[in-house]
Amino acid sequence: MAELQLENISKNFGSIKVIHDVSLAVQQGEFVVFVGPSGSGKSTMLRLIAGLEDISSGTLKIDGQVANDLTPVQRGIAMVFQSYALYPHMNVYDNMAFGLRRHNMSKTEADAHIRDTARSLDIEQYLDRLPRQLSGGQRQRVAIGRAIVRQPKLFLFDEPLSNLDAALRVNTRLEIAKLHERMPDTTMIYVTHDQIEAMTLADRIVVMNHGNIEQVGTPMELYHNPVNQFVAEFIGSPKMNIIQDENAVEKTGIRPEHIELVADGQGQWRGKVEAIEELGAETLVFVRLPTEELVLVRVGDDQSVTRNDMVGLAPIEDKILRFNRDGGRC
Amino acid sequence: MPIWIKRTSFYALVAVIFVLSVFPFYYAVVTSFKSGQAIFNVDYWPTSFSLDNYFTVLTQGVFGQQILNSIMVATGVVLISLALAVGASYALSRIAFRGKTLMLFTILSVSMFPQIAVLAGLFELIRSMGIYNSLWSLVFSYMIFTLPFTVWVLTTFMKALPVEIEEAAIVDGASPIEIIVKVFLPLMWPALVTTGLLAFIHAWNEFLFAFTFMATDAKRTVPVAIAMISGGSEFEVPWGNIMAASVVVTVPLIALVLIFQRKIVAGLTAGAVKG
Repeated sequence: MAELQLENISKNFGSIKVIHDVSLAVQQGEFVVFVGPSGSGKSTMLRLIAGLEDISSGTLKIDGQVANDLTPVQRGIAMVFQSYALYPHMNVYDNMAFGLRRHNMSKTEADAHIRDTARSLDIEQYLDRLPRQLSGGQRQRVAIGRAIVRQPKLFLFDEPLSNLDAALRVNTRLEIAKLHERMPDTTMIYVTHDQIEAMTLADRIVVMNHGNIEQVGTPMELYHNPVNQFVAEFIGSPKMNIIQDENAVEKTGIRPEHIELVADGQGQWRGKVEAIEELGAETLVFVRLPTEELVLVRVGDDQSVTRNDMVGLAPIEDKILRFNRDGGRC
Repeated sequence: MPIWIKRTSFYALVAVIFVLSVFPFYYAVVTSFKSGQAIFNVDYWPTSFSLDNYFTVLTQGVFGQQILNSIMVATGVVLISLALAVGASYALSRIAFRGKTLMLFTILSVSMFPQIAVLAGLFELIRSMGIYNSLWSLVFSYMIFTLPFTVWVLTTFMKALPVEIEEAAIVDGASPIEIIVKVFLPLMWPALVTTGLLAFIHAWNEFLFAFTFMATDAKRTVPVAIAMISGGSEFEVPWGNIMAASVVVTVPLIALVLIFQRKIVAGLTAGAVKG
C-alpha cells in the first residue's frame, strides 16, 4: 500500500560514491526488479530503501512523506534476505512472531494470523521446528512468511533465490509471482543479478550499472528496445551478439534468436560453424566470422548443421540494433 | 616401529601427564582423610577414613563465611564482566568508530601487566574509593584481568555471527538492547559459559590481591584463608586441616567445569553444523 519515490539519491562509503543521483518512482502494488552485475549498486539501493543504510544525499519518499530518517519499521517494510537470516535459536513460530510483538495485536489475533500465514505458505507443519531442521526451500518459505506476517507496505527481496538449487529456484519463482498476485496492494522490490528472474517477475525492471540506472522499463521494452549496449547485452539469454562494423565506428547488435542460418554466400555475414550445442527444443550454433568474432545463433531442432560447415548468417532486418562506439543507440 | 610400541608409549605418556596433573590433588584428598600422627606417614593409597579434618575446618573459625566470600566475589566478577563485555563486544564487533583497533589492543595489553606491578597503585586507588577491606575491592580489581579476555573472546565470537541476522532483527523493529538480549545472547551462550567459567576460576584462585586488600579474617577469600590456617603453636602446621580445606574449595570448581564442559561442547557442535 505504498508509493515510493527516489529523488536524486546518492550514497557514499567514505570517499567512494556507490550510488550516483538515482531518481525513480514506484507505484503502489508494482513489482519492480533491480537487476545488474555485482558491484552495480543494486543491493545498496535496496538497503537504502529498507533503512539499513543512511542516504548520503537525496530524498526518499514513501506515500509522499520524506522517509530518509525513518526506521525500517516506521517505513513499513519487510525484507527477505539472501541467506534467509532466520533466528537460529527460535522455532518457526517464534521467528514469525518476533516481528509482530510491536504490532497492536492481541495474542490470539497474532496467533491466528501466524497460523494463517503459515498455512498459506504450506509451512504449518513445521511451526515447532528450528531453522536448522528445515531444508533450504522450507527456510526460504519461512523467511517469506516472517516478512508477510507483518503485512508490510513495502516488501523487499535481496536475491532470495540465489541459495536454492535450480529446480527449487523455478518453483519458488512461481510462488513469489503468486504471492504478488495475492497481495496486489503491496509494493514489491526485488534485487537479483539473474535477468531471467527479472524478466519473469517484474512489472518493471530497473537495470543498474556502476551505481547508475541504465534503463527502466517493462521486460519487453528492455528486450526489444534497450537504450544502450549494456542493457541490450544484459537482458536476454543467450546474450545479444555485438558485431563490429567494417568502419570500426558503429556496432550491430542482433539477438541469437533473430538470425537465420542460410547457405554459404547468402545473408549479411559468412562464417564457419565452430561449435554446436543441442538442447533439445533448440540448438545453439556458434559461428566464427573471418574477423574472429563469435556469433551465436539459435535455431530450431529441425535444422541440421555440422561442425566446420561454412554458413551464411541472415539477421532479421527490423530486429537489428545499431550502437555507436560508446555503446549508445544510433 | 611395531604398533604395540607406538601404542604403549602413547599410553605411557598419557599416564605420565595424568599422574603429574592429578597426583597433587589426589595426595591432598588422601591426606585430608587421615588423622593425628598418620599424616606424617607417606601412603599412596587411602589407609584410613576420618572426617575429623573436615569437621574441624568447617566448624572452627570463619571458614564457612570465607567460602561464601569467595562465591560472592567470583560470581560478582563473572556477572559484571560478562555484562560489560557483551556490551563492549557488540560495539567493538559491529560499530565502526575511530580508534577501534587501538582500543582492542589497549584492552589486551592491560592483561599483560604483572599483578605486582599494579599492586601499589591499585592499593591507593582502592583506599581512595573507600572499598578497602570490602569484597567490592576484589570484584573491582579482578576485573582488570577478566575483562580483557572476556571482551576479546566475545568480540571474536560476535564478529562471526552473521550480520544479516542482526539486520533482520532491525527490520523486525528490535532495539540494540533487544538485539543483544533476544538475538545475540542466546546464540552466544557457549562463549559466555566458557569465558564466564575462566573468569570464575581466576577470581576463585586469586591470592595476591585478596591477601593485600583484605584486613580482617571474616572478609578473606579461601586461597588466603587456607594459607593462614595455623596450628596451636608456630611449630605446628595443621596439614590435615589445610588439605581438607583445599579439597573443599577445589571440588566445586571441578564439578563446575565438568558440568559446563559437556554443555560447551554440545553448544558448539549444535551451532557448527549447518544444513
